[in-house]
Amino acid sequence: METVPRAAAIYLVLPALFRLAGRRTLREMTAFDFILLLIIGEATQQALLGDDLSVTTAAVAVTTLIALDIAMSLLEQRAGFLERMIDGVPTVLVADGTPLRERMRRARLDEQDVMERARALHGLERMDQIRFAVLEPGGDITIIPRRGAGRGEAGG
Amino acid sequence: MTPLPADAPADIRRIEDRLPFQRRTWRIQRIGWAAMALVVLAALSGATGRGGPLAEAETVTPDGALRIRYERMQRLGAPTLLRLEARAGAANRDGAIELRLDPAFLRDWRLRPGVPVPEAAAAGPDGLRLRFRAAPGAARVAVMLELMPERAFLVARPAIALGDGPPARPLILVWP
Repeated sequence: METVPRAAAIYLVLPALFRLAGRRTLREMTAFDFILLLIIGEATQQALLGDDLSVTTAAVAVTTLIALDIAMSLLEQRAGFLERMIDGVPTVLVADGTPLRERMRRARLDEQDVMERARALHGLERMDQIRFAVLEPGGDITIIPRRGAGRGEAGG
Repeated sequence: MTPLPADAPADIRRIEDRLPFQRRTWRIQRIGWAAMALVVLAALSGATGRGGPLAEAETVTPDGALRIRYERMQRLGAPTLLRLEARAGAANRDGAIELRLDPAFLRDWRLRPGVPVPEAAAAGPDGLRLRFRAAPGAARVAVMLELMPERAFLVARPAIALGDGPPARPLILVWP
C-alpha cells in the first residue's frame, strides 16, 4: 500500500521542481545535466522503494507511475489550463528580426542561443534574417526565416 | 504593445496572446527559486534532520537524573540514536538502573536494543521499562538505543524517565 503514495509523491514533486526550475534546465542536455539526472534518479529510488527490494514493490511502483502519467495526460487533454500549467506555453523571442531581449533574459536565453539554432536549422547568419523565433514548451527554439533567407535559397 | 508585425501569421499571434500566462509563469518560477534556496538553507540549519543545529537536541529530566541526547528532526524509516545518561547514584541497591519509555516508542517507532543490551525489559500500561546493570562505582551510566520512526508527519513529546522519577518530554518531529 505504502508504495502507491510514495510513487504519487515522487510523481508530483519531481515535475513541480523541474517546472519551477524552468525550461532552460532541460533544453539541451550537457554531459553535466546527464550526470545530474542520474544522481536525481538515484536519490529518488530509495524514497520510492524504501528498504523493500521485492519484485512486487518494483512492479507496483512502476505501474503507479505509468498509471498517473496516463491519468495526467487524459486530464491535460480535457483541461487546457492544466496543459498550460504542466507543459508551459510557447513564447515569441524574435519578431521581424528584432530580438525581444527582456523575454530572452527572463527565459535565461540570449541572442547567441537563438543564432545557434538559426544556424543549425536554416544556415542563417544574421538576426535580421529571422522572421520569428519561438521558444517552445519543450525548451527547443524554432526559427521561421524571412522569405528568401536561409539554406539553399538565393539571397539572404 | 505587441512587437509583432501587422502581417504576422495567426499561429504566431495566438502564441503572443499567451504571453501574460508566460509572464505569470516566470514570476512563479522566481518565487520557486527563492523557495528552493530556503529549502537548502533550512536543510543546512538542520530543519530536515541529519545533522545541523536544529536537528540535534538535548534535554534533562526535571530532577536532573537523566540526560537525553536525541534527534529532534527525524525521518520516516531512517534509524536514529537515543543517548541516555543517568547521573551518579542513579543505580538502585542491586546496582541496576531502570529506564521508563513512553508507550509511543512501541507504537510509532521501531526500537532496537543498543549498547549495552538491557538485562530485562517489561512492557506495561505506563510504557516500556528497560533495566541495565551499572558497573560498580560508575560515575555515570550511559545507554544508547536505536530508534526508527514508523509514522510520518508525527509531532511527539514522548516521556522518558529514570525509574519512577519525573519524565523529560523531548519534542520530536518526523518528516516523511
